[in-house]
Amino acid sequence: MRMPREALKKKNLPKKKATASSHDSLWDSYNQSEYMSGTKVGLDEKLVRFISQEKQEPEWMLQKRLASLKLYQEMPLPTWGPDLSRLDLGKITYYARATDKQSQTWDDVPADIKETFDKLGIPQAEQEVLAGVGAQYESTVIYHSLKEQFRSQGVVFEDLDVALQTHEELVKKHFMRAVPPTLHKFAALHGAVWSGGTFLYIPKGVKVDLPLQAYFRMNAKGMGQFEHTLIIVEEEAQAHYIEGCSAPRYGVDSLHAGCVEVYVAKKARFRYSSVESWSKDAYNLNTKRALVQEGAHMEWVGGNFGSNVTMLYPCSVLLGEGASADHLGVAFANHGQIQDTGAKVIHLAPKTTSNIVMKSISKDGGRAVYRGLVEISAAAEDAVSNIKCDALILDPRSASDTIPMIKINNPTAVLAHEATAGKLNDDDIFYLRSRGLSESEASAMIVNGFINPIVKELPLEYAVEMNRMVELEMENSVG
Amino acid sequence: MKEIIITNRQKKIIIPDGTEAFIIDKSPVKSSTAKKAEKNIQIIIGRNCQIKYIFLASINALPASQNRELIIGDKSQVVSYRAYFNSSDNDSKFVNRLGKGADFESRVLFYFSGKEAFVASDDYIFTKPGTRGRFSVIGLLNAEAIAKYYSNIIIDPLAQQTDSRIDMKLYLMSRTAKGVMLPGLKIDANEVKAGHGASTFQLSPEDIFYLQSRGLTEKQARELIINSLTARFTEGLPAKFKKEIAAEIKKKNRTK
Repeated sequence: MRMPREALKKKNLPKKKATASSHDSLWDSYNQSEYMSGTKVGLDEKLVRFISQEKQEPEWMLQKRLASLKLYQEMPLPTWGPDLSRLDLGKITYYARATDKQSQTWDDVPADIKETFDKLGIPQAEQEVLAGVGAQYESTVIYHSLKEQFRSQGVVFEDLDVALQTHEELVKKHFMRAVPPTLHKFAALHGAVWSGGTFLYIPKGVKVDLPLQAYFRMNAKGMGQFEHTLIIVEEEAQAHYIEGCSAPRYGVDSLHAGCVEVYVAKKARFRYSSVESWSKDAYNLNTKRALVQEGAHMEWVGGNFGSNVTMLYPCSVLLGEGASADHLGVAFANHGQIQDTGAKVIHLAPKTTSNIVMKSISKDGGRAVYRGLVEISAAAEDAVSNIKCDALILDPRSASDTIPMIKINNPTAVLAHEATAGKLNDDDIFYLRSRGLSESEASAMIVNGFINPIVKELPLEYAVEMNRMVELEMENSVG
Repeated sequence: MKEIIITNRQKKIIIPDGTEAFIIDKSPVKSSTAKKAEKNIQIIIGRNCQIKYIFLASINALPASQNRELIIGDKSQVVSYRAYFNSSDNDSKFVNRLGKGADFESRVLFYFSGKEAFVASDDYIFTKPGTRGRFSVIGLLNAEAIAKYYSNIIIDPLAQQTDSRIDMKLYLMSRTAKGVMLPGLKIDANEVKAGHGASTFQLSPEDIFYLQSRGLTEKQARELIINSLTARFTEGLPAKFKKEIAAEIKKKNRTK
């Protein structure tokens, strides 16, 4: 997740003059999208066949898409969580190709698209701190690169469409196994129309010490994006992958129903970080799941700032003895937003451990929801789980819900859950104001302190930017 | 304090302002004719009352759906004690509404064994400002017993300056018992303190070893733990109710 440096500098102007829309302007600049004239609104079998044909996919993938489509058409919308009845699935554009080719240098990327990613700071970040970068624009990946030092160690970092051609057997073995299309309606939809995304393969014993990043951008009006991230971390390997997402606001619903599958083999370690800042008219209905084997460790670090409605609950399935998972997340629900986020951990093996820390902030009528599940199966002897979620509610119009489901089927489990909700402490604000900070700056500083346990787990550059995003969201929060 | 005993036929009970009393609400005992009881009662407590509400579903009680609505008047202080020991096919739904400045403490104890199943749901609804609530649930499950317990704090937009907390503790005593806990918070006001905690409890091999070294058998050690957990529940109750609950626990300890 990158912020344009120009925009950051702009934000250093006196804050009293800033408006709530100044933040949105960062994401809301968009390119003309002539390529949309040939696209189709709505979803049917013909479109699914067209996507598969255009990508020259093997027959098994087409069959998988068609089976998913059938499931999607049969399955109802979720009956729990935020109201999705306003989302008109018939008015979404499910597939749009903005450019015909994928580039390996930014110079080859079409100028208008490159400009968007320049504004988001992606090429600069690539040079400075990243091992590799992928960039997706609408339904297709337009840029992919990986530093030679990692390529030579056997790391594969590709667009999933490309990987389906070059590493078909690996893809076939893992694709939608952790997240089957039967899981829910939007997993089925994803299975039918997925396009682009990331394929990351870390060979046995390889440690990638710089983060790899993918950035997903929806540009056109009423668009749907369904990228698929498939990550395979072999035994004793280590890596860190970061995803960022954004889209401009049009006043028309757009839909993001991506999918992330992570396979963490024996004694491997993997960290997946994401900062999602979709436009505030987007529905972000994303599904993320990791299968974690013996002695392996999975970390999810997430920040949810954008979108109208978010439903996102990264899941770790602890399959092997001694497997562990950490889930760290921040959700910021501003005016008109529902951030329904959380975590799900299923302990299926002995001596598995999980740690969930979630923070939410609600402001200007936003609603933040923590929805979680920790399940300890009968086989999960001596499992340990610790859950902590805290909510800050900044004004009387905002709201917070906490819905933690805990299922215990083994008497040796040790589980502790703790949650609190409250407002900013008046004494803290008074003290900071006495030190010369405005009320808005004082509030932002306290909120940044509140989310610090999560932010500190991000690389420094990203941590700084997440702090800035909180400050931007907090502008005009008082008075 | 006087005792108000709720009979099986009552649907609505109104407690006048300023009352100090015990309200006794016992689940009907098994009979040859009845199969499952359904009991829906509304209890309206006036202002400035001091009430101890005692609900008991004894080991001999009829399988039942127990639904209560407890409306607590402004500035009243209420402590609710609810204990469930009865056999299979039980469910319970308690809706508790708190008036302005009310202080409400709710304690729940359930103990099931064999193939008993229990589903319970409590809503603690804060609609007025300045209220305080402390809610605790202790669950003991043995053999193949299954329990699902949902406990929700709901704070309406007008209920500013409220202070509330739920604590849930589950003790699985066998490898085949199963428990589900859901301590929920739904908060629509900002100037509030609200929290919840949930935890499992187990007797570690070290604890058992220590207690055995002091001359106790494993069974006695477990009973000691159960007694200490239930002592927290009965604290503040008159001796006769404490004895009644202790007797129920003793009977339950003997069931498989």
